[in-house]
Amino acid sequence: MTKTLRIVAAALTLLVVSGAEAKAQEWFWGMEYMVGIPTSDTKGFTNDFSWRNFGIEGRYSMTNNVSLGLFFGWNVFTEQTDSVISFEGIDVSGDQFRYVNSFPIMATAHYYLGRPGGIRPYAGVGLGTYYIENRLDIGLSSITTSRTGWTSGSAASRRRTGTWGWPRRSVSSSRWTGTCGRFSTPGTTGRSSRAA
Amino acid sequence: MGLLALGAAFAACYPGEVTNLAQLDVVATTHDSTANFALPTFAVPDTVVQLFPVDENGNPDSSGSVILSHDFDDLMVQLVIDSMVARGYTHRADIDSITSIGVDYVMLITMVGVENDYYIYNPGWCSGWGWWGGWGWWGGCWGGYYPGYVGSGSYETGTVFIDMFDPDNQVEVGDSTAAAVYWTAAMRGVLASTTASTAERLTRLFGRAFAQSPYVTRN
Repeated sequence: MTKTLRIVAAALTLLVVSGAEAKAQEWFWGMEYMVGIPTSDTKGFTNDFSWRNFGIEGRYSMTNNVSLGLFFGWNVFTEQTDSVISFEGIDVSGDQFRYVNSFPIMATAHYYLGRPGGIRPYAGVGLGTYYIENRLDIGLSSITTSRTGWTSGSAASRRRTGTWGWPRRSVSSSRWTGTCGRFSTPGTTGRSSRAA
Repeated sequence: MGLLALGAAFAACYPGEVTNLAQLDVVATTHDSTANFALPTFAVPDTVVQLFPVDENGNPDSSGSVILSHDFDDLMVQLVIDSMVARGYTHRADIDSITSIGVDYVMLITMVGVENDYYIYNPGWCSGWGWWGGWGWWGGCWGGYYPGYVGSGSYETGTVFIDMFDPDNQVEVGDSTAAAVYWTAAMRGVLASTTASTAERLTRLFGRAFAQSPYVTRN
């Protein structure tokens, strides 16, 4: 439960919401596109490189050097496999489509160096919650499990005042497992009452 | 506008999709971990038995069932024989009577033609039935059967089962006895409809059933 999925930040800013210059006590927004590499437990469930990750973040400049904000992300991992899965003494194989949809929501805080009008390196942290849904499709069955928990993240980059977004970012969405839950699909488990 | 475009790009959060019927095939296997799989001989009935549901009184009722094709019986029987021989077992093709069975394992192949929850009646191995050639269809051998179980469950139409049991290892089931099943493989829905690819799918699924059951071996 303590394993971490680290979204490798090749973050690309897709949208400039406003061209206004960031000033103290002002909202600014950014959207991010990311790619993802599953690790640890998530890797055991969906092992494919992910091209489907994005986030949106709003920050409110408290001072010239500090902002507070809110981050919402959506990470999608998938894998198609025909490996054997086992549960309760039953082994099942077949083409499987596996999906992980993760939605981290974090409150963020950032600190900016430098002066307005120049390049401003910054660092930030986030703390919040997540909702994760694992889905396994096999045959005509679909098994979905979901859970919520706490998550944290960090970010470090530099921002030139007058542009928007966060061109490089590292997001950690922690604590999800690759389990697919109890599997009790009719028709695949043999007969339920029989000679022992 | 940008938000809408990005949202649309990610609308498909389950991007995989089934592109052919074979991708829906599922094989499930289970076994008795205390069973002895090291005995040498086996036999396979030459007909695939279709299981029928029973009503609340335990009487067979085929009215809700699809009558499945027997075009692939020979193929399925041969696939089981080949797989067992490859695992070091000796096929006894000379078995023709329940009373002189003389084999260590029986590999019983069955299929179901119902889709909803039912009690399942397995005509089993009727002692009075002269089973080579007489195998198969319910009616007249309720009792004196083995493995002869009545089970409940929900099965996809066309699911094929392989049961491996030792006919000499009888256990009590209610007021009767039945052979304990050592290994079961279920191939879901493979005979629901027959197409040009059915034989290939059966071959692949039978192979997969044995491949994911490495304990079924004498080697």
